[in-house]
Amino acid sequence: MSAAIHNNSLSPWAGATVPAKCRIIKSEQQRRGHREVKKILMAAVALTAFGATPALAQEASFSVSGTVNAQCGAISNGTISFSGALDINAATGALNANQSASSSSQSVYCNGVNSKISVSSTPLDNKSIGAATDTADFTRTINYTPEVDFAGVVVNAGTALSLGAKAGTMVVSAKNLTALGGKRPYAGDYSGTITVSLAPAV
Amino acid sequence: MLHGSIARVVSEGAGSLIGGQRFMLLAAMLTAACAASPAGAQSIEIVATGTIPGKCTVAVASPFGGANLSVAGSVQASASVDCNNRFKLNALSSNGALVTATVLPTGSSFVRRLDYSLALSFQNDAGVTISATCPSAELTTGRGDCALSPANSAGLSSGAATAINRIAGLTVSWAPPALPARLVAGSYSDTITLSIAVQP
Repeated sequence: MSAAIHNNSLSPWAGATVPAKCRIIKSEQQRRGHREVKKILMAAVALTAFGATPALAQEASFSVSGTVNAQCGAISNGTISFSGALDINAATGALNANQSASSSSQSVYCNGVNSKISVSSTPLDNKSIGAATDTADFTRTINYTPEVDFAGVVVNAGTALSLGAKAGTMVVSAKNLTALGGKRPYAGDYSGTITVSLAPAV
Repeated sequence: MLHGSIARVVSEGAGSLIGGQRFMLLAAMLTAACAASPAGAQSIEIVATGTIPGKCTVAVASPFGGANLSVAGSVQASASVDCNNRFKLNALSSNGALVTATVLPTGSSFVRRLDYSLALSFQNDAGVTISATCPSAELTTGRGDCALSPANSAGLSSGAATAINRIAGLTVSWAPPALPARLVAGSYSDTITLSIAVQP
């Protein structure tokens, strides 16, 4: 019976039967192999550690900006007509009091909170008599009170008023006609101008 | 104890790794030197796993330009998107609309908010165009109605693909409110925060 080799010695051996055993021989090549495996394991651990870290959400901010320009819109020229003839006192020829007339309404807006409105006017002037001037008894000029009603805001001639951002109907009126100097108005066609100025502002 | 040397290293999909995918290294397959007696062979198989972390970034590539809000229109911006994993995008609007600080008197027919829509579009690495359009009101905190809504957990998904160094286009579009409402004059603004996150 042959002696079995039961150790891992590096001694040379000989015999008929050798039990199935692994002989661990730590050659330089094997040691390098061990080091490689260790490196791989370490790398794997490192990679796994990275993988365990949740990816954080990233953000980017965009500013969106724009401007609404201050403006007043949709205002258009109109006409104020005193229907028929002006009312004259048949006995004296003087202009009767309390005569007024208005334009048709129109939709207007000003979108600026610091918008202003102002009104100016020129008297009614008799355009039918050429250059004829007033006499002691007659005049070519009829005064009146201009008035603008813009969405409930009533404005007369004078300093501009703060209007704010406003939208609504606008009606322009010529009120309380009075002949210049209390004289009798010449016969003919009279016309004047009421100017409404809207100044938009932010 | 280990015996032998590394026999083989296999990296699955190493040529096209996507962040988050695990890859396996079949590190070593060792066979005992005593091959004459297989019954006693010693072998060791080491499987090393690791993860390439999903990494996504988004940044402003070009900002929105100024807008004339008095008339219908749109403005564009772009974002650089870089993500090595499938991902999602969400957008958060600070105001839910373009808003001006102008104070209006009570009962005014004017308004100080202008709703808009945000469209976002990009092409993923598979060549698929991904896009969504959402009303600004649905981009506020807690809303999840639209694909880009901040509380929409699915977000605007990139699908199964990545987007490496891509550009996403953003378009903000608006139209003036219907009468009788009108915009009060002034400067309007909002902030859109775009967020990107890896999708598992």
